[in-house]
Amino acid sequence: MSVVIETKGLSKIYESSFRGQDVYALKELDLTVNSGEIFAYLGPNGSGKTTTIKMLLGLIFPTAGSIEILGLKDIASAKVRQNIGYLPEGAYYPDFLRGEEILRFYGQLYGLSGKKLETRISEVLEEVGMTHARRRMLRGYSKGMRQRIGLAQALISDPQILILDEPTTGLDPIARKEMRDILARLRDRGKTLMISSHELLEVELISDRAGILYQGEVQKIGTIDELLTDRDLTIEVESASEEVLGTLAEKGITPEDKIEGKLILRVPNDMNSYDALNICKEQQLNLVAVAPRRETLEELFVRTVGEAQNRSTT
Amino acid sequence: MSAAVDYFRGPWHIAVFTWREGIRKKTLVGFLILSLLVIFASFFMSSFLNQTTGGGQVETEIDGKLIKDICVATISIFGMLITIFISASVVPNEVENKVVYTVLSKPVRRMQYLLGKFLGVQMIVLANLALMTALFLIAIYMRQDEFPKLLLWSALLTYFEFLVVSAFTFAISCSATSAVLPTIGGLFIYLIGNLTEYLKDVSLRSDEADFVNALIGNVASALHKTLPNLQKFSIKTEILDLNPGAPLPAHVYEQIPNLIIYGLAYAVSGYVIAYWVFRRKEL
Amino acid sequence: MKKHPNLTLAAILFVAVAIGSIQGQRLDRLFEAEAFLQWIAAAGANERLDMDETEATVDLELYGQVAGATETSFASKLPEGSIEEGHSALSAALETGEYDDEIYRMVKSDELAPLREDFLSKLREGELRYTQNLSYAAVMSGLEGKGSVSVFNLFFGFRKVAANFVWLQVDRYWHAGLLHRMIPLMKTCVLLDPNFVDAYLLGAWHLGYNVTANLDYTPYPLRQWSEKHQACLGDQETYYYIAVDFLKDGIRNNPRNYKIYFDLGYSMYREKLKDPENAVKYLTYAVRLPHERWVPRMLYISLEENGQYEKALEGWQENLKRFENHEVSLRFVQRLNGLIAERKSEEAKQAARAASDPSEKEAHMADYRKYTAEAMDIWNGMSEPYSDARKLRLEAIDRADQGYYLEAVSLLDKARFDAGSLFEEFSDLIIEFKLVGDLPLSVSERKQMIREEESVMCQGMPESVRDERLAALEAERAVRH
Repeated sequence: MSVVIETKGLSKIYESSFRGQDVYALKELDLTVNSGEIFAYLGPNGSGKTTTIKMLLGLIFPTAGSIEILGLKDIASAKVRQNIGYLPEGAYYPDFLRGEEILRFYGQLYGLSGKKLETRISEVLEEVGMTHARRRMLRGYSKGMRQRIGLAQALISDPQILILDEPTTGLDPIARKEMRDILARLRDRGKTLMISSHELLEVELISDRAGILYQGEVQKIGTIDELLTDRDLTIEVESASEEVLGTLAEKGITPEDKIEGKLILRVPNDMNSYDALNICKEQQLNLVAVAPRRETLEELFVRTVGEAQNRSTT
Repeated sequence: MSAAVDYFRGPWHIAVFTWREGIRKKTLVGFLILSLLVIFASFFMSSFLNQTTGGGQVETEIDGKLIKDICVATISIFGMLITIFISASVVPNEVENKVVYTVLSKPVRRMQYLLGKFLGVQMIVLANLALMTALFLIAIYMRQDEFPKLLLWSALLTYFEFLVVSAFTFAISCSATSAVLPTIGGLFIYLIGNLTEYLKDVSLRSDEADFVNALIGNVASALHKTLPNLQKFSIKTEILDLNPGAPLPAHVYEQIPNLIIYGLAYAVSGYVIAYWVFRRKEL
Repeated sequence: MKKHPNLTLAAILFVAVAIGSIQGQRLDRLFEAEAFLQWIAAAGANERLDMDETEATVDLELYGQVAGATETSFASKLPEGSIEEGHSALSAALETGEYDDEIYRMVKSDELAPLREDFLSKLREGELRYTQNLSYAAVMSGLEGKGSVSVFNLFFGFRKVAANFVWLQVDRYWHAGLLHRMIPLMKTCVLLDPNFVDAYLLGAWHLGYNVTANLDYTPYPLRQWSEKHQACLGDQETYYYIAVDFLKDGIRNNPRNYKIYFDLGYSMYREKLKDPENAVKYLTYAVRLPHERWVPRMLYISLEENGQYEKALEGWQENLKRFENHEVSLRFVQRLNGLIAERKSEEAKQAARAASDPSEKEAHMADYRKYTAEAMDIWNGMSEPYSDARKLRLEAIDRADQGYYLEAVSLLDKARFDAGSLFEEFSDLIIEFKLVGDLPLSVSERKQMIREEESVMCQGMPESVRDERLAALEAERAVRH
């Protein structure tokens, strides 16, 4: 698998004007995005995700380090730009324009014209499922439709790389599903997608690789499977009194959830499964089920960020 | 040649996009409507003048002069307001609504983007000026049954005055995050541009014997020679007093192309500053 | 650009600003040349019309130098007779627009550079007076003197609109009858917009007609001598001359607009100041510029009043060529033929009186009879009060020559009431006949004689002027009587 985006030692320092401290938005970021994958770029607000994306697009300039896109260092070159499509978060498009007019404008910026442009517009609209609304003005579009048009403008030049900032934020569940399907289809067609999102559940469903950023530094990076290893055990029991729960908690077994009157207990990773079962038996709990529990991306995210926060305060 | 065509294709499309968006702005339309109302109302201004002789109402040439002078002033004021408003808002608005990200992520250099925006602004300014001038032409033609050719020269010079203010306002807007500061800046530039002539007074009246005074005088003189002086375009109002039937006098004929070059030179300066600011602006 | 972008941009900026700066200075030179040209036009109009502002000595001196420097260039170009005596070729060249471009080229040239610099420095020092119309000067501080701010700058070029709004206020004051509040505002109007011709015209009308309507006639002994105007000014006359000065300023600022010349010549000099000589002077300039069709007719009337019958006749005949069967022209042609005949008969009579040789005397008398008959024929050919009155005049003169003064007086008395425009002329003739015929003068006639004597003097009049005028009055009476 070839690397389409690579950063080495990428840093961004915002110098303070007076005696205040400089802000390190990115600290020697080494990042790679491979061809044909969906890469989820995650991090809390202010971690440097948007900074990274903007640097990849040439909207802001690195203080140090290098960026290579498609093997080219000149990221402002036509070849690079021709192969990048970008969907910014919450972008606005003029209300009075029709869907196809927006695409026509962006297509023209790519140097497309005439029949070729019109064909491409139709293809892209078909791809994002907006053919029916192509002649409607944007002021008549729902949020989901605007987002799709936004994606369409990113796709107009049939780029190799798509950078999407919060592509599903604010969408209803059906729209989100549709968006996910579109993105997955694009990946299956060989496109590389770099998605920055807070919708971790969505991202987990479609991403191949993920990177978690905190205070400008990558905390974790890898495939989803690598990152989300099986960890905990869950034991489902009939019920438990507060006293029993307290005893279990002292031993490290914590209640996680209650479903249809039944209590789900979580057993820590470092506890032997049999030992956990014995403890429950001692408390005379009625066992319903025992199952392994894979950590979600959200849990990983929260844990990673929490650890990073602790490290930075000590 | 085709490289040049390719290069300017992007700016052209951006210019058209800017034009389409700009002409719909409510503030712009508001200014335009106001100016058209004033031009229209100038017809009735002359009713304030009750020129009577022998018991009846007499229409003197003052009526025509009133209309002409008010129309010229209206075009100047509102045209300038529209110019400043548009020049101040195109770039900051696009940065605010993130359209600039979608454009600059395309194979569009910042220079091309800026050129397109600036051209779009000029298209809007020209269209507004043309519309107000056309209405003025119609008003004069209906009133005096003559086609005021000189007005076209006046409009041309007015445009170049607007161009200078537009370029520097545009430059300020490239560094700003909202349109407010550039708008104020544009008004300030217009004010300063009209007061630059005072610097000549300062330099002429500085006392050479006193060091500080002489220094102030020299600085004032240098600034007077360097900064754009909008008073130089005042010929745009005086040209209307010339005899419309006669060819332009030699001194006017000579001033016009020089003023155009003057306007263009400062417009380029303003644009260069705009690009210099925008080139490495963190968006 | 890619390697050293900042340097490249700085260089481009520097070049652009440099070009702007150079252009700015070039424009300054052009504006200075234009200002010089406009000042020359104003000063040239002043010289051409002998308006002779004695306060504007610096202007006159500088203009003299400029005219001197350009004399040879223009003298050869202008047609024969176009340069009046005592005037420069430059002021003659400035009259129409024909030589404007050439004058401008000369004004811009290195040849006139020293004078141009002199003009600019005098302008900045506020020493020049004919600078009201200077758009360039308007942005310099020199007008109001050192240390002051040019009022024009405050309007950012909207001074014409300001002038219009000030004029609306003038109009309001006029309709409210507040005439004295109008006057400073009218002057403000033209200060803001020196090309506001109607402000000059209507302003002069207000000053000369409306303000003075409320003022009484001032007897000569109470009038004040004006060195500037070489006239005795009473209450009314003061305002007439204010209006005259106002219009003269208007001419300097708008030397190619016939209307101001017309108003000055006709409305002021002819109607109010009863000065046909100056009326003719300004109306003559009015017709040399693009004008309305009735303007030359006013000139011809003034020529007639000024005793220039032949020129007036020429004018009316010219008018007839352009407007065939124009009734008024036909009438005036006849009238002037009659007046010319009458004058010839008078001249013949004078010549006969002066001649010592009897045959010469007889010849002159024959001419006298011939021209008198000619005049009579002409008046008989016209049937209107004017011609009837003139016939009666001829008869009266004839009676007087025969010693029948009483009859002469009664004929003239009838005639002067039949033709009102001849009332003064015939009344003077009546007095003449009564004095010669030793007939008693009426009270009003005696008052008229006293007024005539009084009119030669007023308060503050230099003795030399008084003596001169007295001598002139006596000589005139000697001829008449």
